[in-house]
Amino acid sequence: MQWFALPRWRRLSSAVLLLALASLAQAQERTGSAAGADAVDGRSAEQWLQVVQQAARRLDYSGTMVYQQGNEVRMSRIVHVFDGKVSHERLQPMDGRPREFIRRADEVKCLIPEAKRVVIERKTRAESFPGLAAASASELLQHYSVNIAGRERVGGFDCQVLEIRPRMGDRYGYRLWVDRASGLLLRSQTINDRGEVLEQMAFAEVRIGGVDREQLKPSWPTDGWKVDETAHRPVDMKEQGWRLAPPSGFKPLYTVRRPMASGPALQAVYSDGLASLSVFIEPAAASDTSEALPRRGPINAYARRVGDSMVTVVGEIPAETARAVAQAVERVGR
Amino acid sequence: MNPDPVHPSHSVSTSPAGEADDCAQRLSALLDGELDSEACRALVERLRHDEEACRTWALLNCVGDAMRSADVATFHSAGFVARVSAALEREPTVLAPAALPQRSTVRRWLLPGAGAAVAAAVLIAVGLPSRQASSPDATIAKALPVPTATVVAAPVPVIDRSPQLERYLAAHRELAEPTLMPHSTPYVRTSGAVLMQEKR
Repeated sequence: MQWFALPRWRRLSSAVLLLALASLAQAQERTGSAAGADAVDGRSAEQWLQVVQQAARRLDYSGTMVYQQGNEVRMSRIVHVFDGKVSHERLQPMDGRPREFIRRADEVKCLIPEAKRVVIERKTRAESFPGLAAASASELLQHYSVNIAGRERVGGFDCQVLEIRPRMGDRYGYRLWVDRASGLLLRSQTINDRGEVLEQMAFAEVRIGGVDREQLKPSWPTDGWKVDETAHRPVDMKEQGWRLAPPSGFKPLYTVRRPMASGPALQAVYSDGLASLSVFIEPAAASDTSEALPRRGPINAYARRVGDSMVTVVGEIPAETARAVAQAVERVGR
Repeated sequence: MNPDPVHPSHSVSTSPAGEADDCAQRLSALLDGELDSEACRALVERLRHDEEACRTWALLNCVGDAMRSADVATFHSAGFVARVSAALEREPTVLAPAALPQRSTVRRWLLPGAGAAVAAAVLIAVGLPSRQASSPDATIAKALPVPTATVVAAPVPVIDRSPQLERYLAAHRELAEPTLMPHSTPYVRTSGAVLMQEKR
């Protein structure tokens, strides 16, 4: 979405938000350097990452999240509840057409009120990947260095700033603001090798704890709505005749056959714990050629024709990495 | 007031309904890539002068965009037709090949969605390859290098490419797992955009 393309009221509201973010950033600079010594200061980088991972899953919180990428600003309300076993989430985008995303563990229901439709996106974990748990903090540290920087205030919370730098240039860096008391990540920036912020997410306001379960309920009664389910079937890329070579540290999360707009496609998803990428393989159309797709903030995509197939790599990775991953895809056997 | 005494009143009357229908059909055919480049050129020429045809073209594009992407569809404001007309007004020099890459980049910023499609149609009607001179930020287009034979099929990809990226993104978002942020945060990135299943 481009700035000029926004309706005037949205341009105005975006401008107001940008100003708010800018003044927030200034306020932080003023209070930022006041690092002191107390109990939590003893945490190592690895411990901080563990705390953040745990907090994201186990805390109850509700708030308004601001997403900014280039001239684009989006706001969403989010409610998160951990019931002791799995986490529940409700995300309400406040821009664009009314939508709602209700998540329970690995299942997300996408509500489309104007069409009276519910689309259920369910992750089907493949048996062949037992070690699917999120990359551990120690694994993360093999590919990133973490600098425990100063303390800054975000949304009224005393935050620890963590600067996460990639050890190699094939992925982005991050700057995180973590609530020192709860461990909840309140703001995150994705940063390229020139130090430019490619996108950021921040809680404009957040309430930690004391979340009423009622807030997880959708805005609309969905009785009688049409229900569609995504059909993912786990597959083995090798058996399908493909060899993929993601950058080091990117572990396979899912490998599935799934429907795409153009027909069935193979999708392999990899993550290094911070960044993730997908490789799509589908039958090529006659006109398809190899080329980079338009970039969107930190999202880069590269499409490459391999014989009769089209290989498309999409992820929060630098353009060169997307291209390299696509180039490394090989037809084997068969 | 009649500026042309030689052709009195009938020259300002509106086109007969049949002709308008025919025009709409040809515009639709243009969108579907079913016109040869000669007919394309004629139609684009007509778009420059015929307000009604221009409105029809805008409408057809709105419908197409709405089917392709919720995001793009919301861009069309009341002033849309006016903007397209104004853009077409400014367009003549686009016929000069040397001016192409830069102009089209600027136009992509000024004219989202169907506007860009009009621009693309103009470029394509002239029969020039429409690949963007590297502009990584252009979100509208992964413009194709167009061999002359398939030239007229290109207007669709030009507006369809961004939704295509959206679809890959949506599919990626479904299975990507943020470990530090709430799991739903990938949905924040594409919230107003197409869902995987929201295709025509």
